[in-house]
Amino acid sequence: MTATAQRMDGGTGVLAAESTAGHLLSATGLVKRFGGLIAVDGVDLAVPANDIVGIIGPNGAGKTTLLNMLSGALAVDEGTIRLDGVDITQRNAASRAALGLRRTFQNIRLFGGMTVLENVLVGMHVQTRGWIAGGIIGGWGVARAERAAVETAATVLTTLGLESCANSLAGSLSYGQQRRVEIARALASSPRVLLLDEPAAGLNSAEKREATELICSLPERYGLSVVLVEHDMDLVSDTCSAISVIEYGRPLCDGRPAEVLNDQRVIDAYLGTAVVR
Amino acid sequence: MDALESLPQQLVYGLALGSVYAMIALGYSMVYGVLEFINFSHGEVFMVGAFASLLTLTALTGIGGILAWGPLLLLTMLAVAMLASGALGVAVERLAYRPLRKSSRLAPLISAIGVSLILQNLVMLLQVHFQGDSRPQSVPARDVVPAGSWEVLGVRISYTAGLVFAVSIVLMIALGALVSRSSLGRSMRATAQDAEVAGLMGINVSGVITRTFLIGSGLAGAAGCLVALYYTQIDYTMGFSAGIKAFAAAVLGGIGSIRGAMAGGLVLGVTEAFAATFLSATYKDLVAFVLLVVVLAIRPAGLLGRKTLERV
Amino acid sequence: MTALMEGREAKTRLPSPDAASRRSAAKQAGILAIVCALVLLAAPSDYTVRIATMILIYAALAMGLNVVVGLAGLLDLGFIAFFGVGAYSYALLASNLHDIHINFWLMVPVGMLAAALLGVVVGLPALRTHGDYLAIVTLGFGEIVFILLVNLDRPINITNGPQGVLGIDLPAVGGWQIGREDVYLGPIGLTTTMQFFVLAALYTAGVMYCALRLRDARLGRAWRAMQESEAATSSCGVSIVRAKLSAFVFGASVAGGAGVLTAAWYGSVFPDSFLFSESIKVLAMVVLGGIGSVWGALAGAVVLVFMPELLREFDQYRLLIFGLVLVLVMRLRPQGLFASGTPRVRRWTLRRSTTRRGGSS
Repeated sequence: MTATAQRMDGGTGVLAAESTAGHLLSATGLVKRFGGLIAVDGVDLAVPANDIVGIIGPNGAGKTTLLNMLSGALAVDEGTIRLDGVDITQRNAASRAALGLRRTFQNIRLFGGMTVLENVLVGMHVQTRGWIAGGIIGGWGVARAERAAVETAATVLTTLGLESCANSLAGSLSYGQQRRVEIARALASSPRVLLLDEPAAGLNSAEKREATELICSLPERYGLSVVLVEHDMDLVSDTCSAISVIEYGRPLCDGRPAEVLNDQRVIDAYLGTAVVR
Repeated sequence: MDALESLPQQLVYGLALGSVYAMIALGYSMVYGVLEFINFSHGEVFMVGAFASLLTLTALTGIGGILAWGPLLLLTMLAVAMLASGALGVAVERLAYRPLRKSSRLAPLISAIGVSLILQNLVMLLQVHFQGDSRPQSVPARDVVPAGSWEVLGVRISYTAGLVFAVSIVLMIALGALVSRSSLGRSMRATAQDAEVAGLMGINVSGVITRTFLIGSGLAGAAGCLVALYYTQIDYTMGFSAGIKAFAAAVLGGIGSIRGAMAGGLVLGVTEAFAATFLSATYKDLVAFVLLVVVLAIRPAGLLGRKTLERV
Repeated sequence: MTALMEGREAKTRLPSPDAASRRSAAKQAGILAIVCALVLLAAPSDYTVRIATMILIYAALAMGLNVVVGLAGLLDLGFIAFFGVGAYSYALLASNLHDIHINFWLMVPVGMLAAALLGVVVGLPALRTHGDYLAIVTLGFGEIVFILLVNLDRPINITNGPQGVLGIDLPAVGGWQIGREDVYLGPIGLTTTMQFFVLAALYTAGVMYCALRLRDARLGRAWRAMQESEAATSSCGVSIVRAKLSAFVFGASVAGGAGVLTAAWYGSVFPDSFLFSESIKVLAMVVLGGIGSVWGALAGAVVLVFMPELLREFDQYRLLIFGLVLVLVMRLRPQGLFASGTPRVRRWTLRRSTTRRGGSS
């Protein structure tokens, strides 16, 4: 597959053919088959620290499948995934999340019957303490972790402008707010890598602008890297420092947004409709 | 070894029992396929079918003449049992389940348990009212099917067992054809896939559900009639254990799948018959449930999981 | 809400959410204990106290099952098996049947542990199965336990089969045995029935405290989250395997302890007390009371124990009416008799207090 992945610049290319050492999150030769269908076929990915990289492609290109493999929601058929040099290919979603690899969902998966704050506290599962006995008895460690978690959650909710609905049921919020709660749930645990699956889907233009600003601010404010799977070209080009394009599960090209979005193959892949910049 | 020699014989018993389970299991499976809901009162619908056929038998032999002629009597019993159970199933759906379609998953389940209690006790009270007690009723099956058996390769197949096989095979083939060929079957499959979209496509979802209950309950009624003739004894509690076993069979085969329900019923029936011979009668139920738990632990979606088979 | 993020003073901190949860749980369990004390004072007869004790034991069971079904969203149709395991562990290890007489207070945790072990066994296949498949697996386990209780009298007599176990030991405190004779503490007289009522009240209040605490704790949050989306929950770092097993283990332990208590109270156990219909009865309490609600579980137990007793004079029509009530309640209030229909919201305090030890304001 590496032959198809042409690098357009020396430094920040996402589809790194050679060594992925030094990158925060890296994947090599990822393959996913569903029966006879190959949904993802030999995709490489390298995400530097404190950076935002985008994955784009036409509908059904395998973007979400790729993200599901990265997050651990889907088992990897071939290839390896490393987080900070550690092979996490065989780890399940929960274990990857505990290591600081967090995600959001394309079709929002909030816990609708729980409050916004509780949603964020579930996101901070790794930061909190106590199981059956700890939950009943409490104790100093549990109490301290709970208090710290609520403080952090409150801070994150405020940053995202959600403090006033902290005690509302997540299911009762507007769509745009729910998207932000999902990000807050992931952010509160201080992840190292955040996988965002179409964070702008269903947002109006004002909300989209806010989302763009928010995503741009994430690496600096929280010291994390973002992998962005998105349809909205404006959002991608405004936020990402590097983009990789996949089509039919295979890598098409990668590079800086301006270059990639004007690449003839990418325009062809989108039938010349989506890329207007 | 004695037990080993009787193996083919036990197979016949097991298949007869399994056919009955399969017919009841189909009702669970079809309803589950369309509504994703365990119809716990289904066993009671089966029991009512058994009582309806016994009442028919008593009434018609009382009148005598052509009506008491074996084959005609049998057909009338089957028809009455299927109609009674079918109508009951539809009525139960209307009154106890339909109003709950939009609520949580557990509400219809509890409602079904309530229906189950109502039906069981209603039959018991009617029995007490008309005859003074609620003892098990014996069924004069000889008036319908003569005693005797065929001998095939040293295995005895009683006429009633033959009847169970014949009726269940015919009904299941008819059901299979109905589901795969007719427009009702197509509507049922569409509703099972996605009731909301099916409704948007112009399918009358409530009508499909009603007919699903009619068919599933009718099959249970037929099973009730066959059990009455085959085991010649019925009582108002018979629906419970048969219901649980048939439900287990439906899940064993992969609930929502018609062929799964048939396979699950047969596997369960044969296993029980073998267990009764080789272990002890007391442990036959144990074997049935252990089989169920083990199969589901290994194949979480049942023997014929829904991915490999059409759902109804 | 401006107070939320001000943090001008370094010393300001949030009130402790753990302490708040503990206070709230203790308050509610305390209310239950007070109600029990009032029942004891007002009870006109021993018969009333016996019914009240039964309600408490069923309430404990319903609260345990509520964790499994209501919080973790795992439909369990064989819950009574855990109760049976608890009851039989006491019956076998504290009676003349095998001439073993282990102390009641030791047997409470042993019975809980035995039930918890079965909970793990039931939970393991449950990890792979979902929804109604899980329901049938639990139903299957329930039936297996029942069949074993009935049939394990041959070839070696372990459970004494359908005859059940009689002559089970009374709980002893020092030289005094609970339930042996009426006790008079000054003007207050406690009949033997009342003594068991007190024991049951303590147990159920304890279970209520634990259930309330867990619901709002980290594990309870994970359970409730898991019920809505397993994918999202595991993406938060929650091990679904551990969460599911813990739900089964907690529910089973509660039922196991209740089983020990009941065996000691009745002085006898019979397999028939652990039929499928009993599992259904407990489930009906949970759903009738309002799924997910701890007080609802208690309310469901009150209704479902009281009603058949009230209908005792109609005898034959009892179960018929019971069935009608189930259908009607579900039709008129599908969310349960005592639940509002919207999830209960626990409001967390995000306002900072300015005092250093300000956790308790």
